[in-house]
Amino acid sequence: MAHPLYGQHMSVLHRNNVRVLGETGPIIVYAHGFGCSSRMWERITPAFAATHRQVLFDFVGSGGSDTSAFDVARYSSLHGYAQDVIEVLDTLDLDGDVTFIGHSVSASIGLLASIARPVLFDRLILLGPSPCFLNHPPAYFGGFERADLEQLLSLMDLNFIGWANYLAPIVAGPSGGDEITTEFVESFCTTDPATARVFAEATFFADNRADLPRVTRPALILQHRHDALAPQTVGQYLHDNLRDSELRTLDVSGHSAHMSNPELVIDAMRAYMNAHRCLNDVAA
Amino acid sequence: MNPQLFDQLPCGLLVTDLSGMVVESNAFMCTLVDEQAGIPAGTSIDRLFTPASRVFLQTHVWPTIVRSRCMSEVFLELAGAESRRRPVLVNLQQSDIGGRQQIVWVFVVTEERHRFEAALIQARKRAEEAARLRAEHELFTRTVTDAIPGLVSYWDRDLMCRFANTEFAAAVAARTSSVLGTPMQMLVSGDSVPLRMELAQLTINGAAQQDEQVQIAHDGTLSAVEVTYVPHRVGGDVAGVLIVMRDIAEMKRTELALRTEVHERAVAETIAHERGRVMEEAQRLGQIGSWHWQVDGDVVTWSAELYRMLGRNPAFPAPAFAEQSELYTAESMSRLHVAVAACLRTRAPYTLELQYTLPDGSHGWLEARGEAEYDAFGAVTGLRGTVQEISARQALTAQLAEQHERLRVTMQSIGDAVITTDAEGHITWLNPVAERMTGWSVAEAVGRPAERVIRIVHELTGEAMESPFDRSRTTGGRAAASRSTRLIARDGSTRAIDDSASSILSDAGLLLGVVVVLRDITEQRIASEHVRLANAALEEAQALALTGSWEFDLETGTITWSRQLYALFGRDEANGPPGFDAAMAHYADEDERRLRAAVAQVAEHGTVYDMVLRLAGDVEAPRFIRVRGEARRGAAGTVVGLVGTATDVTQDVRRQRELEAAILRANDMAQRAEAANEAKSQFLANMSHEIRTPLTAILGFADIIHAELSASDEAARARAATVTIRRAGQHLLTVINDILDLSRIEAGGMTIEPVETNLVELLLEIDSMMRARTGGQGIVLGTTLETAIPERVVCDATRVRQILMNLVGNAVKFTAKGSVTIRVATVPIDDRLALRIAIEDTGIGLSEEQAGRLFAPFAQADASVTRQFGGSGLGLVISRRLAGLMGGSVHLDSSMIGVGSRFVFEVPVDVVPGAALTQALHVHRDSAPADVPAAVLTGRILLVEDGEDNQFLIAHFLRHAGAEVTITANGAEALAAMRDAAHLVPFDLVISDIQMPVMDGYSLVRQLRAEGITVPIIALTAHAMAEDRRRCLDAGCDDFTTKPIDRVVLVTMVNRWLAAGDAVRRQSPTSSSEPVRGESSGTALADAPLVSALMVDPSMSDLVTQFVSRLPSRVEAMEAAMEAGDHAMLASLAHQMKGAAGSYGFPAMTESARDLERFTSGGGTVPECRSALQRLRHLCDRAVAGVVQV
Repeated sequence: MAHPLYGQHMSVLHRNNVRVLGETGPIIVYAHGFGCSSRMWERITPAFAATHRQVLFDFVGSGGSDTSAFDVARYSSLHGYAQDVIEVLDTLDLDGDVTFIGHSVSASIGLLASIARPVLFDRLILLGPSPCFLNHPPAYFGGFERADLEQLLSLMDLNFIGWANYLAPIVAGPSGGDEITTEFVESFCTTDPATARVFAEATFFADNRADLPRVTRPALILQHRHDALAPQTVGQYLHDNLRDSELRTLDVSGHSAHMSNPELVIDAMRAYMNAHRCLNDVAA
Repeated sequence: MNPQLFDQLPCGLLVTDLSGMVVESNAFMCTLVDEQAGIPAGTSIDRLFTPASRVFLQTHVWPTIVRSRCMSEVFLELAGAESRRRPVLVNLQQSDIGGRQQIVWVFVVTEERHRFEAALIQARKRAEEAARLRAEHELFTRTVTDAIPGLVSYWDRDLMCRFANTEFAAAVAARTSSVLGTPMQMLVSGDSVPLRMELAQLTINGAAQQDEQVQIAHDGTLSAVEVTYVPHRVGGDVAGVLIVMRDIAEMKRTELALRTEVHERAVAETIAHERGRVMEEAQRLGQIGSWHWQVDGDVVTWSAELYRMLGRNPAFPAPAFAEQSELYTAESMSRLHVAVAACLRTRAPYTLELQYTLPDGSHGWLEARGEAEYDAFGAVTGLRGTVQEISARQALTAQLAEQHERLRVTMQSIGDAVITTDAEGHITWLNPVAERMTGWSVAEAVGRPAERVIRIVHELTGEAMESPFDRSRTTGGRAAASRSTRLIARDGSTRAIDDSASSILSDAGLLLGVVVVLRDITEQRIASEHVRLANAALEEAQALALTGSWEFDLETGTITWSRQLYALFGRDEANGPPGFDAAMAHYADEDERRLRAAVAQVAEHGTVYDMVLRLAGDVEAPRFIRVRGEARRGAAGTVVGLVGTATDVTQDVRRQRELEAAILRANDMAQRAEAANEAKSQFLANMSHEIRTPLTAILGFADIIHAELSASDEAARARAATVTIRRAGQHLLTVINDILDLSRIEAGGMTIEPVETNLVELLLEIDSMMRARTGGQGIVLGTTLETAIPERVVCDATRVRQILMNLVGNAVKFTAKGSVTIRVATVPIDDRLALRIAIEDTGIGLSEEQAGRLFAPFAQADASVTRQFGGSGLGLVISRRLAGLMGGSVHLDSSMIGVGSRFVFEVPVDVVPGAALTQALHVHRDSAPADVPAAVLTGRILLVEDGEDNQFLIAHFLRHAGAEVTITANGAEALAAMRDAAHLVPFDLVISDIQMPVMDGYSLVRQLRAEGITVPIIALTAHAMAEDRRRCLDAGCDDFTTKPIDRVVLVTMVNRWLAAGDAVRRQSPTSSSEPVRGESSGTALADAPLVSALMVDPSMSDLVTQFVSRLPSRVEAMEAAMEAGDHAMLASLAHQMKGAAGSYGFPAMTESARDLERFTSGGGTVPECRSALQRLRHLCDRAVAGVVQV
């Protein structure tokens, strides 16, 4: 209790709703994507329960995090989220082999964190990554025009702020409305509409293409075959621009293979980590 | 329910599998996404949504479905046809349908509601954004202004307050409920708001103001305010005034405290002095009154002095004690009552200072002493005492008290800790700063030993230091501030301090106490450390930059130098900076004057200077200093001094000068080289002229002799000689042309002019031209395409042709038997297309040693080769250079003695967009080059030529062709002739040399054109340079040809211009697309076999052959008639031929025969007749050759 870091230690663990599963073995750190929480990984973690220490956490503003710690300035940029990752890892003071797996925008967040503190990571697994969602013709097609993404923000307003926060109280009247609102918002796999909006802007208007050459850690790119958010050309782009990267296409429609087809993701993770551990062992 | 009913539902129904692939949909659903034909099973549901909704689906909806298996009331947008967006409300549920997990989606159209909600949200967001911006802006402004230490307010032009920061609002809050909207008038009508309306007004008028106001309130509190008025300009106008008040009381207080100390000492001295004076006077004047009061009966007696002091008439008895209330103020009276009562009771004497009232109402002060009077039994009977006038003293005392209070207040408010002790070193008082610094409150500290409260240790060692109290006591006076000490506060915290102490001594020199002052220098220490570091960095930087800084104070005339300057000027720093004159003396005379002038300018006008000056001294290795200076201005804005820098730029100046010298040398060399090159070019041009002119004559006369010689044996030998002359002349011409080409390339005068070119035609042209040469040699010439080639490309056709002619020409020249093959292919080079043309021969080949020298100018493979094969030896050199200019190359690919050689020419080309590809060349092997019909000239020609040889030759050619020629020797003569002829029979054409005495060709042409004469003018020039051609055309010539004159070319050209007349004038010169030089293919064509157009008709070819076979005998008959002078016979024969030749497809022959007939019938001279016959002979020979060829 008298540990000097106790306060900070607890505050990061609490703030990011950090959970560590298992006590020994190589480490896997899971980072959830935009619009959800660490619960997204529920179908993956059982597969590694016996062999790995697994770290799960929520970004501030998502899932079970301490939303009061949300700082708009910090979380308006993916660097703020990368800082969350670094602080979680620093606080846990992990020793050993660390694999970071990030879904969607968390792939970019993981890359940024690995640029800032390469020693924290042994390798990265990027599930459905996209360094930039916007089209930059002629060289780059992220899949979306700016207008599309601005519409997305309106849609979020409609579904969170508009409907839940604005209309529900009107419909239900001043009293008794809270319950409905809460219930409604909880029906989405996310927590706070205001933070979600900041996260959305940070996610969809980010352009991390220039950061790719600065990544020094090896990475496995898991590309969905039919992905409305990150088309195959984007996976190829990452592969072309990330040194020491492997590209593997999962035969999946959608953007969240770890939820829809967890077995494919588990296989890919296992194969990659085994291959690399062997390499590390040989090197050692 | 009937499944068909689903299609009737007014909402979209969709069933997908768990990965979102459509399984089923109802009719309304199809309408929603404009898929009238139905949504195909297997379509991803993603595709039905707009991109934004797709993202939302992936990031929010799917994760939720996976977790919760159902969702309701989600707003999404379907994508209709033509990127229509259709807002829908979606409900969905995962169910087991027929044993499979599927998702049922229900879409309800919410177009109207959506719009309404969207508008509401938009409006709310706008309002929130506006409010947020406003709040942010206000917060920002307030934060900024609150952060400014002082009172900030903003006033409009009417001096109404429009903005005030918190401090300002607080400061004036007592006077006004709300500052905003308050006129300044209202605030300044009070007293303590230190705003001045007149200054505000001046600021409104445009001039910033500054004001300083110091006030001391009744309670001694000092307030000092610095007020800055700044105009707020919008555009060019002042919209208001920003006023910032800064509290500078601290500063003033320190100042004042200093002054007060001096003042108090003076007051104390005055008091002492005054006291003595009063006593003295009292004694002297007896100004001490006495009194007696008998209690019994309340009887009071006064001395006379007392009557005088209190302004009462001595004639009356003194007032009884009970009546004395009118003598004193109420307050004094009450004290007197108390004192008297006490004295009566305790018998203790008293002394009181009482304020009395004179009958006139004025007041004064007296000191009353009283003591009890006893009777014999010890009972008090009354009181007696003295009264002393103390008004003056009282006034001083009051003043002293006031000063004391002020001092106390000052002590309370100054920034230093002040602590007083008694003589034993016990604390008697601390000011608030001392309380804060030591952590002891006054109440707690008073009475404690000073060492307990003031704990001072050495900053570095931590050892306890002698307290200032002790130091002061031992030194018995003021103890100077000690350095490097730290004060340990009660809570253990420490701070860097300066401490000092002063003993308070009585008049007798006894120690009464000590005053200790502690100053917190933590901040100051940090600041001074910063200053020290900054100075060190500056010094460092200056040293590195060989730069020093200086200041010159105009008022004192003193100079300050940074350390670097001492080194720069070689002065000992220990001796301090030089005076002004000494500083100036460092510079060389002239530069010293410049510097003095510049300094004077700065002092007078506040200008800036920046100059490089030479130092006095070493002239051999001068040193240069760059001095920069600018004005330093005082508070009033006047120039009070100069500041600046000095940099040693000796190295820079030296380098600069060396550079300039080098540039001058380089320029000079370049100019000389240019001049030399110019001279070389001029020499070449002249040489070309000098050689070409006689060549014209040599070649021309060889032609004439050749033409006029008859067919006798002797004549045959002579004709052979003329052929030799002609061949030698042509060779010489080739050599000259090659040298000219090479020199032009080397001088960079050769430019490449890419034009759209028909590549196929170009290749066919080369093929046919070279085929003509190989005809008699028994070698086979072939052109093959190895790849398809574009028909039209952009390249410099003239140069490509020149290179190919050279390469193929060489191959033909060095090949005695076998073949010469031209292989054409296209290859990509970099990102362009290039032509690769290989010329293979089965000739003599080259040894390795010969190949090595192949491309060196003037080094033909072997001297014997030149003798045997002719040529300048420059052809390959020129070809390679030309190819290089076009970005291509020429190289020897392979060669073997006795086997042959293969040369390869590569040149990049641009394909004309849309050009067709050609797979093979169709060489028309059986078609001879087209004949140029022999021209027959009719018209009057003015020839302008100064050389007699050429006059004769050209006139001969032209007359021979039928023209009427008038010869003039220069431009002036020509002009006169033109003017004369204009009235009679005007000339139809002018042929003019360019270089002529008296008036040259350019001037003549310009003059003619200026006079409105439009006849065609052909320029003759020996200069083959492209610019000559351009100058001719620019001057107004229609066409030009170069010397040596080629008869056929000249006649053809003249004929064309005569025939065309004005119709083609000013359209295009005939020779513009031809090589510049006159060595045209015309010669070859003129000598080429002549083939009748009827030969293509097999039924006619025999007839034509028979006609041709009879031709030589017919011409011989004419020649015989000519020799015999039988003109009638000649005319008759000519007439016959005239009629027949045209019919057999030889129109040129008909023309010549007609000429001959006309001349012989009396229309011409003998030479004309001979010439016409000669032409006929020539045509006859060519026709025979044509039949042989076929």
